[in-house]
Amino acid sequence: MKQSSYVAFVGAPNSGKTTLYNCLTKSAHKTVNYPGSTVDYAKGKLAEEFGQSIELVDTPGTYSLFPKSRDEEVTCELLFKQSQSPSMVVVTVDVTQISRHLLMVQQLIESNFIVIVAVTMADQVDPNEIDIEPIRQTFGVPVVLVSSVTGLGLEKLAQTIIQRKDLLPSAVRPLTEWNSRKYEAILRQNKEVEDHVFLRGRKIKAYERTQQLDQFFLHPIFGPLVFFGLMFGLFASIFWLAAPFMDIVDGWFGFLAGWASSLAPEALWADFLGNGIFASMGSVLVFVPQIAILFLGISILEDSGYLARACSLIDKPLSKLGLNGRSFVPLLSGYACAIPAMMAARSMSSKREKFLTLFIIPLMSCSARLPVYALLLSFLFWNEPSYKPALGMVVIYITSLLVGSVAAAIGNRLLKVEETSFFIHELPYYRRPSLRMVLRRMFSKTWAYVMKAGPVVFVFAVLFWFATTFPNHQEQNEVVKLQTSYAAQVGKILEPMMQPMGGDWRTGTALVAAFTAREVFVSALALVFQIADEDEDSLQASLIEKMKTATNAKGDKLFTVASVAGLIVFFMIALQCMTTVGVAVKEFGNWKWPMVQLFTFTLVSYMLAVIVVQTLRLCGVA
Amino acid sequence: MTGQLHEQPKHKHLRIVEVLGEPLIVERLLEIGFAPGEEIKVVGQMLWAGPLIIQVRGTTVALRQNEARCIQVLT
Repeated sequence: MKQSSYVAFVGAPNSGKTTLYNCLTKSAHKTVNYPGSTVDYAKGKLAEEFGQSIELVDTPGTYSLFPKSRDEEVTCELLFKQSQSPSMVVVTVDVTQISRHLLMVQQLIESNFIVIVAVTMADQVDPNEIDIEPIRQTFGVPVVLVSSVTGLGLEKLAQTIIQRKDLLPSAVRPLTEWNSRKYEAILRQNKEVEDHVFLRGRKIKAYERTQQLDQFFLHPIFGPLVFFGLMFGLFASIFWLAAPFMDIVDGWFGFLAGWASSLAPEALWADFLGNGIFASMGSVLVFVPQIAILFLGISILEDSGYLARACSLIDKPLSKLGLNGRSFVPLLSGYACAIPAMMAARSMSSKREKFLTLFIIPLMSCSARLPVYALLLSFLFWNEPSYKPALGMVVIYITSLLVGSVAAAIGNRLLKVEETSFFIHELPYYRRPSLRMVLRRMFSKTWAYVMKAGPVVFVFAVLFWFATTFPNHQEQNEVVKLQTSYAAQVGKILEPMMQPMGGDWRTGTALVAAFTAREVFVSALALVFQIADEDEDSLQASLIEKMKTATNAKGDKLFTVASVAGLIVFFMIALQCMTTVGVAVKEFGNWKWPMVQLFTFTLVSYMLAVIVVQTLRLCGVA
Repeated sequence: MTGQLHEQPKHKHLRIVEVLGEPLIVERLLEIGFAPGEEIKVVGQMLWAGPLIIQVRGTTVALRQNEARCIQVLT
């Protein structure tokens, strides 16, 4: 069978594989779906400066060819699926971890792959004190010493790939089981190789520094303190660092929306441009700074090596909930967006723990809820000191964490399946994160988010404009026009359900609209209240003014402390994001569980919202 | 004298004799470098009887007690 002609990059987690891959492709690669599965991998071409165009594929990191998580399965599927097997494999071996990482080289050679060994992180050692020849002698394959930091060996590695690209690989065969004796023998062989590589004994500065730092970061008392401090700092920066950027975006789109509407105050197209396009685009883009900052923080923590420590630190409490230290990164990412968060759960080994993690990710307070909370809290604390809404946000975040824990604990009780749970987690050396890599990841994740959620939100906002404008678009009286619109007709059907929550058809319509994506709630309210026609300096200010004065059919205030608190509770729990449901279908591998999530979360959120509103009213809070 | 890793005091040099237990866990331990003959050291433990911090072959690995129990060491 003819094999596809590409080079796969394979290696253990933290072996410098992706960084090396980025250096060789000059980062000009795109993420593609692996055929027949849901997992993404990066596909690119050897950069032009190396003289030849060869396809390179980056695979998820794996310790061996015996996969133990979805991520590792993907790598093995790619390697062993006939007709898709790579023509050559570049294995990354971290120079500081030679004896352990050579295991992969052995397994790939035994599986008949054409192998090139890239010994990475050469900058971590004195090049005069090591000799990579013993690796070549032992395994009989080309070995290149590289450093993605200094650029050492990149050209040589590229040329080695080019020279060997026409070699015909023999048929690959999956490994049969390796037993304990086999591992022992291979590790002994690899240790001997390592001893010969280091001419003056293995001495790695980074490891010594790591051991010192770990005495502090993993200290029984300081460790948790640092952990909570860092988490607090991360979430605080989402608000304070992002605020000025958000104001800029908000102000800009507010200006554009007002300007477009004023172009031709009577014309339908100007209304569409102002209220339909610009106001809804603004509502999507306004929270991009917050997402970007959260991803920036996560990337810095990950690249510095701290995130692996945080996972270990939190493993015990999470295991009480039926989760695992490895759930930490998916759950933390869930505070930015459930979509990448669910994809991050692929690195988890236990299906049971992965299931529970996926199940509660939508309960983490994602950034799409931020504009909703921001609006509702600004409403509650209008013209009051700014620490009050900030404090409200802290309360919301902590509550959402508790809600997630309760949901996990309940799921853990109900789930009958028992499965081996383990936590074997390598703690990589501490490193100074590379600014370029960190920014690149932040940009690509934020962009992926905008591209995935943006169009949905945008299309729906536009549809929503139609629904609020037609059929009586010629009606001069805005209130009458809205009350007779299609949206109002749908909203009025829902009104009986909204009344216990303290809402009317307008909140109902906005809530239904928010099921495409939560942030649509803000733009839907903006449309319902026709805020683009206002002269306020920002969209938010004019929306809150309108909310303050809005009354229901009986003449009572529509937005009160009680009804707004009910809305906050609703948003905390309801699964109002169709993109998340779509991703959940892929990650769960079925429709059943995403549907269970959708219905239970939404039902529970509605009931709790009603309880909160009614209790507050009973206590005399309007 | 041999014993299980989770019972060992901190900062003591230990040598792995055998890795025994659930096949999935044993395999991952072997892959990550916990093979018989290897020298290891417990350097810490996370709060609330959380994972043990083990130094093995130039790297640091966090293991739950349950996984540490699979590793028989010579003290």
